[in-house]
Amino acid sequence: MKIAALASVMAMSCMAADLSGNWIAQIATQGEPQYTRVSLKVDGNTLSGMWGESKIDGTLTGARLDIKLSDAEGNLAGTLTGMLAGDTFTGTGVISAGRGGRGGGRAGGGPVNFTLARPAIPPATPRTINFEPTNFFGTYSAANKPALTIFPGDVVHTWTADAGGVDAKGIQHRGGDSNIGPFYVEGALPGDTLVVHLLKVRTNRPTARQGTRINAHAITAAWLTGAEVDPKVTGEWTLLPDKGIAVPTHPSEHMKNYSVPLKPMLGCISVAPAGDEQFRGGDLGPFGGNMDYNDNVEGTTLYFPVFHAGALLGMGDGHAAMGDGEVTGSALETSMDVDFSVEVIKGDSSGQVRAETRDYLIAFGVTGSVPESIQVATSQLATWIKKDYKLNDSEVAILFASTLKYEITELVDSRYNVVAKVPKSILASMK
Amino acid sequence: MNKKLHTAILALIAGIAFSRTCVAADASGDWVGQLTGPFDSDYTAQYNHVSLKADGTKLSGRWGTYKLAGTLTGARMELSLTDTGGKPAGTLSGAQGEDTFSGTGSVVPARRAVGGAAQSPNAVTWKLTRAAAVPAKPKTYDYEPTVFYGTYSAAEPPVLHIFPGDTVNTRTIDANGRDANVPRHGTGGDANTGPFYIEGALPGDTLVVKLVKLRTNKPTARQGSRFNQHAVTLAYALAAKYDPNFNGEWKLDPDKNVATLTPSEGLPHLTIPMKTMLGCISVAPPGEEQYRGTDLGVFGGNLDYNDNVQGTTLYFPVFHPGALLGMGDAHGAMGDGEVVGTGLETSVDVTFTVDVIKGYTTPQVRAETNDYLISFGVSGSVPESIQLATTQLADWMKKDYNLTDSEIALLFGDVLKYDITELVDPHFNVAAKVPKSVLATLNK
Repeated sequence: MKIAALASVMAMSCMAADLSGNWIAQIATQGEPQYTRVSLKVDGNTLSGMWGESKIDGTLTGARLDIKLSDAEGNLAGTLTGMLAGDTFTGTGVISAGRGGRGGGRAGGGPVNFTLARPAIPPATPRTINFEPTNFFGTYSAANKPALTIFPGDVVHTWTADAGGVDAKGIQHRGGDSNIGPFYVEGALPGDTLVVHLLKVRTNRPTARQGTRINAHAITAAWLTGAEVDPKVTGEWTLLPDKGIAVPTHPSEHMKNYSVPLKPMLGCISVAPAGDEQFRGGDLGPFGGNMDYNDNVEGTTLYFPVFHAGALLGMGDGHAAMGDGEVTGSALETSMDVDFSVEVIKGDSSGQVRAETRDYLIAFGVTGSVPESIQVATSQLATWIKKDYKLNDSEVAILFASTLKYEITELVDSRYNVVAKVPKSILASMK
Repeated sequence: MNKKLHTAILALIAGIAFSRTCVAADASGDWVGQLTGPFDSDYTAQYNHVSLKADGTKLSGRWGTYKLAGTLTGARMELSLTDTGGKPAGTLSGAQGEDTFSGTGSVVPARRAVGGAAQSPNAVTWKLTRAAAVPAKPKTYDYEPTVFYGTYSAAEPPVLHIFPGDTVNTRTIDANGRDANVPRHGTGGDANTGPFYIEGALPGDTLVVKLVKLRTNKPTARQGSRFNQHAVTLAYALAAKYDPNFNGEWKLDPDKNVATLTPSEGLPHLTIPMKTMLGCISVAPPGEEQYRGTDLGVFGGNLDYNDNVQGTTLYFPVFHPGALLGMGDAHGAMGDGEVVGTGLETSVDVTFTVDVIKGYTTPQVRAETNDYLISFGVSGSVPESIQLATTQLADWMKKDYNLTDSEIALLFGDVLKYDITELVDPHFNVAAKVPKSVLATLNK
């Protein structure tokens, strides 16, 4: 009896000791749940730690948790009570609404139901995963079921079909800029940044197809109404990756010797859009999507704001080459072999997608008009540089006025995309 | 007076006398034709290249795009014009003056005759003056500017007459009117050097300007440090806390080709590559139009393109005889869009040459660098500027490379690049460009 009782006490204390460490709190709301990173420290029956940016003071009595949260100024920010069952605490309480408190008056807060669960444990060493896509999603939405769960550091070898859904073997999948994935990235929570390294983006078949009419946003109405279709121009391409060029398959008279340099890129790359939003594959927004940036190539790193747990990364719509603005409504559309790896920057996110190439830091501005896209891209880049390089508004203004470059990347889809970028060589010289 | 010089002067006098006789006897050669309607001024009159061939009393030749036939009987000239379709396009009659012919007549307006319904002729007065004789050898001028003009207008009197092939060494003041030597000229406001009258350039031609040399000639440049509202969101602009004491002065080192900002706390040693450019370069705008120095349009002006650098060639539509070329507003470097309203404003030494492509018209300004053919689109909005720039470039490809509309679409879909060059002045400017390396693979 005595031994059994002792064993029981030991088990209890063991369990108590194990509760220290990192947790993910999930608070149910009428919409999507809110996630908060929580760290607990157990000392006997006393609990301390952090709940997001709030300090924890509390007790652990058997399986029962009672905690009080206080904000940076020491004001009461909430009280919570829960019970441990298995690996998860479930409970209720009152919590101040975090977002409403920022900038405005004090938020009222309200009753909440919460769970506290352990984050997934990453593998001892990053994995290399060969992912063979079988499902192609045509709508950007958090409702798409993840095709694969990966951890930061993992490398994925995969491939994408072209915008029309045709893969390297000629098999037809769903078209309409449908994407492979989504990939659930463990450890990515709303408010974080998902980092995607494009390790390899290479064409994997010898053909591509392109439109041969200029879109109305790229050319005057007068030119458009006067334009005559030349039936000899087919828009079919032969890709010669060994030579690094593409040539027209059935060249017209003037294009017998015409060739363009290959610059394989991903037209679409995305996380799931915010909340219950859904967008078609051809669309684009703060979640990325059909951004059609011709520097989203092998070697480029992309930074996405995370709107949902796991981020839900997807990609597709490869182009063997593309002029600025995708003025014919399509580029050299083809399928791709893609290798990528992911990382998560916790607790920091930007308004829209950003990127980094060998030479530039890049901010995208996706909106309903080109002038607004210019403003959003510039503002996002300015916010980034101010924060990371500790510049004031005058300093970032003069830096941009002397070195900023713009690119018009998307003129022909549901929304416009303009890129603002600064050379890394200049940024390196500043520090 | 030595004997050699004496002989030369005699020869010169003989030559002048001889050439006078020639004019009287032979109307053959190149002339400038002016047609002035009842509501026209000298600025809105129509000017054409005219060539005459006299054979006895018979005259033949061309008046702009029209074919010309007529008679010269004593001092009396009678001309009839026919269009490219062989239809009558007008009659002119007049008399000889001193090195000129002038008179009255009626002419179908050449521009409006194309495409639309048949045009009835307009009553005109007309004048023929001899085209300036091109010197045997191109000249090089050192032009020291003393006046700077703040308004793009054909009313600005030319400061120098030059011929195609000539080279000019000169300088420009900065946008605020300052230069290397003198504290301040005039009122600033992007005042320009010139205008230069290019002999042989007439409306409907293209003026070619090659920037042979651009070098900053003072050790400093100034730049603004507040974002213009077209470049950032309203939220950003409202939240921005600008430092009222921020010093936007740069030190320029043209030998090392770098510019260094006056140190601030966050930018203790910001050094950027110099890329010296001309913000303003222009011909006189059409008709009686007048624009301030900061404005831009189909005539060029404050285009603020950061590839208008040494080695770049610009192509301007000519709206007035002599084109009236001007330039100014140099920047030691500038980011795209000139987002704070200025570049690294400074003064420069400029060397340029000019040429004229007769009878070749572009709707707006074009350029050519080492790597690209470039077309500008200046308009009241960025989206429209994108369309204009693309369209002008497409027209260029059609005309010079004989491409079909579908071939142009394919080409642009593959390799087109856009630059947003001007966001902050009275009009917007977008550049559309194609790489010359790819164009080299086309069969014209």
